[in-house]
Amino acid sequence: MIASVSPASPPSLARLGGPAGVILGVSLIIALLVPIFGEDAMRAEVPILAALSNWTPLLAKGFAVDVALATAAMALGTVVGVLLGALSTSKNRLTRSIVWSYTQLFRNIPGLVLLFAFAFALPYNIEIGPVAIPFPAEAKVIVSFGLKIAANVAELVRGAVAAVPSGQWEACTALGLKRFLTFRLIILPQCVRRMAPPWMNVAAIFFTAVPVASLVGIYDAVAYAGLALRAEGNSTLIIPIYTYVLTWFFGVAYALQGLTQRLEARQHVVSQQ
Amino acid sequence: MDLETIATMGDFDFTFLYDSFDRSRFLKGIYYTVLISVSCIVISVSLGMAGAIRLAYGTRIERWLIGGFVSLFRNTPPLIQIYLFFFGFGAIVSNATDNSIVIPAVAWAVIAVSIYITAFNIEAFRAAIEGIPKELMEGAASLSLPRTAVLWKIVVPLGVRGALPSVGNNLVELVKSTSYAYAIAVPELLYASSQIWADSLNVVEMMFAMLAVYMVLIGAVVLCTQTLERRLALPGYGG
Repeated sequence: MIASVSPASPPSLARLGGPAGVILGVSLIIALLVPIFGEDAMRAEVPILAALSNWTPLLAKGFAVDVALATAAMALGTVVGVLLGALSTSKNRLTRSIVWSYTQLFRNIPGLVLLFAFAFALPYNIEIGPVAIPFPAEAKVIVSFGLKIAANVAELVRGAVAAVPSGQWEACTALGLKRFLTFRLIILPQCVRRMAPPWMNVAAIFFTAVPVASLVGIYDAVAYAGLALRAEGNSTLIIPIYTYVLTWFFGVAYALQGLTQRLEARQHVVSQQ
Repeated sequence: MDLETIATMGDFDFTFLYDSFDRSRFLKGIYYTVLISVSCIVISVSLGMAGAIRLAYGTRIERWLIGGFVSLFRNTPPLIQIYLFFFGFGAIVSNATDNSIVIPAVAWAVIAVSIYITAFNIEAFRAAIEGIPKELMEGAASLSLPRTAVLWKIVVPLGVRGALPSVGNNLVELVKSTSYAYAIAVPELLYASSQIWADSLNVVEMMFAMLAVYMVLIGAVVLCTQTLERRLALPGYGG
């Protein structure tokens, strides 16, 4: 009787690696078949696969823009975030509350709203005296996402620092290390390993958010998908083309997630020893 | 001083405070954002719980499907998801019914955001269900408690409590994600604001106004989940 009562141990998603790929494959096939067997497909002049392969170079170009924007925003956000995280461990109450306000504000503001604030409320050329610094849409995307990523990374750093036994801070004080040096030489290296999985989680989340850049006039994969659809003028292509682009994002984000879970599993084993 | 003088102090021009047209647009935007948020909260929390239970107790195929669903929707851009629902499935629905059924954009926004957040909520509830102490299950087994009793007296109450903090985070994410409805021209807060600043050229003012509204909405969600957490807190656990 026990077998019927105790639940099958819920499979963690780490162990569900295979199905996702299969599900995605199935959904892609359905996406392609629906229009083929749909009423409209009789009128479709271009076979769907041909259309997809025709537009692949352009979509790939757009996807490269997405990847580049996400990478740049992650780099900016990580640097700023680690600095903010360091400041959040400061002894100064004012510094801590400023960092706290920053993280609360930028974690809670919708990414799209922040992007619009940068795109429409800030000029495209920032003039400082005689020098005009261009601030193109791409830079606005990178900065607005970078600021949000920084807020998230700062929280990760704060959490990771809190997990380091405070005895280490005291030991460093006893050895005469300054607070900043303690942080840089002793605390931060330990946090890096602990922070790697959640950091990659942040990377995956913001990578999937980057296509909103297409709403402020950047030609990324989603924008090119829209262009391709308008050029084809064939409504049966809507689902195939968007699903096609979707799978590319899925590939990258899913790989990141898999890597995150492997790192986590390894750390789990290490911490149990 | 009347409202208009206050609203146009300094270089600012908060048109929606005194102009009745802008005000009605802005209020309608808030209404849609709240409407989408509340519908999505209800749908994504209940589907999330149901999904997590099936993930724990369902057949292999169910577990497989739910795992795939979660991976798929967590790892793809919500913008493309909403386009697929609105342009893709929306066209299918209206074609299949000869335009007799046209699902409005706001409904697609609710569907898309709900499904996106459901994927995250399933994960949250799953983790909470996995975290239920094994001794409780063994105790239930030794009492030969029926499955439904185990479900309703152990798994659901403890799962809900354990998942609340991360579900709370997901709901904050949900309120923020309602702005994706802008992309399919649902007149929610962001869309309404963009229309107001297109007419009145008061981008900065509208940004501050939007920020204030989102902060109030997110504050309300956080307050609700935290209150619920306190109300449901088990004596002897946590702080």
